Amino acid sequence: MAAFGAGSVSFHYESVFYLKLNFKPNNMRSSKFLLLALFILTTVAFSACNKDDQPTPEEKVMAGFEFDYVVDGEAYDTSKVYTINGTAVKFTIANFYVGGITFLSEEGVPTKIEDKYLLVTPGSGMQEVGELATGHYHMAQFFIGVDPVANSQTEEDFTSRDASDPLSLQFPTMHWSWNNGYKFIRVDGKVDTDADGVPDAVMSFHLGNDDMLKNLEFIIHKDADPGQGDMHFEFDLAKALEGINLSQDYFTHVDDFPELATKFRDNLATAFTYKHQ
Amino acid sequence: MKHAPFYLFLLIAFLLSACQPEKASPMDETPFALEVPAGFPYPDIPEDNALTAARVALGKRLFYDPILSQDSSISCAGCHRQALAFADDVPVSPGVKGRLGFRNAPTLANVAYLERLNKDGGVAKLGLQPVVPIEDHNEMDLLLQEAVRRLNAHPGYPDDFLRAYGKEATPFTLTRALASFMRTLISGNSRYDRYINEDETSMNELEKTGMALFFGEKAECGNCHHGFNFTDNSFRNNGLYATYQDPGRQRITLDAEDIGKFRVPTLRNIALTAPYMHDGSLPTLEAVIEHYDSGGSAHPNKDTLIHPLHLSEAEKRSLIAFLGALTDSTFITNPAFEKE
Repeated sequence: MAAFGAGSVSFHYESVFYLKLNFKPNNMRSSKFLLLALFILTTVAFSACNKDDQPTPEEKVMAGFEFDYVVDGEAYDTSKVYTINGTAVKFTIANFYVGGITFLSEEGVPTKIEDKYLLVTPGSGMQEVGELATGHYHMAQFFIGVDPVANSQTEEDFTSRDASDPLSLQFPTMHWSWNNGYKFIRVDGKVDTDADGVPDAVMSFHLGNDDMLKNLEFIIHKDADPGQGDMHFEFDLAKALEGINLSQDYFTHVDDFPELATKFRDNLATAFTYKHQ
Repeated sequence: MKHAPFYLFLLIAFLLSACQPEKASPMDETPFALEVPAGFPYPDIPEDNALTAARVALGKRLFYDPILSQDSSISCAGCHRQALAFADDVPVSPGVKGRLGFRNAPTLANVAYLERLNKDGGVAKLGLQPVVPIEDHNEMDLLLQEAVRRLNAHPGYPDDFLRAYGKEATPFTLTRALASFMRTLISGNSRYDRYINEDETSMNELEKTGMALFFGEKAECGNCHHGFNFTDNSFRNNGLYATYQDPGRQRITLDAEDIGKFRVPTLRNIALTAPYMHDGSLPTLEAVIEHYDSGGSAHPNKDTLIHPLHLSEAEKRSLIAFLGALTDSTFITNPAFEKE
């Protein structure tokens, strides 16, 4: 009975022989087992045939965002002193939240990525955004910040969220210590206030509060094909600080200098650009 | 069949193991018996932080422990003293290294009932309120991550957290334990409470005169300070200044119409919580009555209820006497709130 091979393969062929040749009343237990095996085999075979009749599921591609940091076109480097609007500036932190991510087809049909937030840092690299149907996308929209419901923290808050959630407690902190709510974007560093070329005063642009949410949209003309879901954006810190005399105006946590915070927020419209590949 | 006994043994062993009780949880879920005074509603307790004895005990331990300040020099109780109805007696309480913020420490009496926390309402729930004093640079100046690290490295706290929450100290369990203790700080046993609960002898005639004035149309104090907790939980500009250094509610809303608006505070135990106003600028109740009698400073956001009252000296004395009847002596001596 072992003529058809050895090991696991031989068992299968032996079973078939039993079915064909040894179907005798005195061997009923083996026969029942073989009948069951045949039934399962047949079922699997039929189900495999049925599969071909099902409609092919829509192909999906994982979309990803990466933000490349620059300062007036130069690579972002925390050890480097830049000159912005005539003032020497050094950066230490430049983190922000991205939410409300939506892609629009040529016809304007939106695909919204629900409940997805990214915490973007200079080192965060490419981050998964969510699955998109393959195809062409004309535009991408998102906001810098956190939507008013999540920002209110009345239900979930940064202490109750799972550690893997970008809206959980972060270091450097992305929540305010004097009220509930998130810092939507924080850019920290030092600026030169005495014109000696050495950044000496603490620079802090921390924007939060629902009014500081900044909606952005980009023409992307992106063909989201399998393996081709990555999208690159550029964040130019010099443009975010454009028109600001940094030797004098270098600190806002919104409530203490709302005009400066508003200026910075409005600059974000030009500070972010989409990099067509 | 020769293996039948073995399989039978396995089956029995499996069935017996299924009957074993589950490993005991380290968490003690014994509810805390919160006593609520007559006329007070039971406070809302969030589903994710049920009030248990272990949580309240842990919260109390944390409340009195300077471990939560950067240099381990001050605790919550440093600015919220039980003898002062969990308020302080200075305009602005010093934080670590003597740093000063810009607001007067509020009473914690009945904080469980507040709809929004802090004088500007910037905190939406009691569970998150501890973040403010712990992390604020001018108060305890300690990041939550560091606070949690310290607690988990402490010889005593890990067991307390396990008993209270079934897990170690986290930003969530730390803040919720403190909130649990604060929820128990309920004050509703003043002479005024006994009076309205049919003990007419508990208030004297001067206090009763003051009460009538307080709730009457001349002084109209009760328009904002009413209900079981003597507050309508609104934010109002009481005309303290013509120009505000501290914008109050506007700091949160960024709305110019909110400049100078602060949360209407409870008046329970008010005689114990001097100095008064958001910045502690009025040292006595007499000064407070004088302020309201004057009608306050001109400010575009000043509440329409703030106008000259033309109170007599006798009326002022009676108002102050009534405010004294709101002191709950059992609250400030309750051993359940004391440091152990």
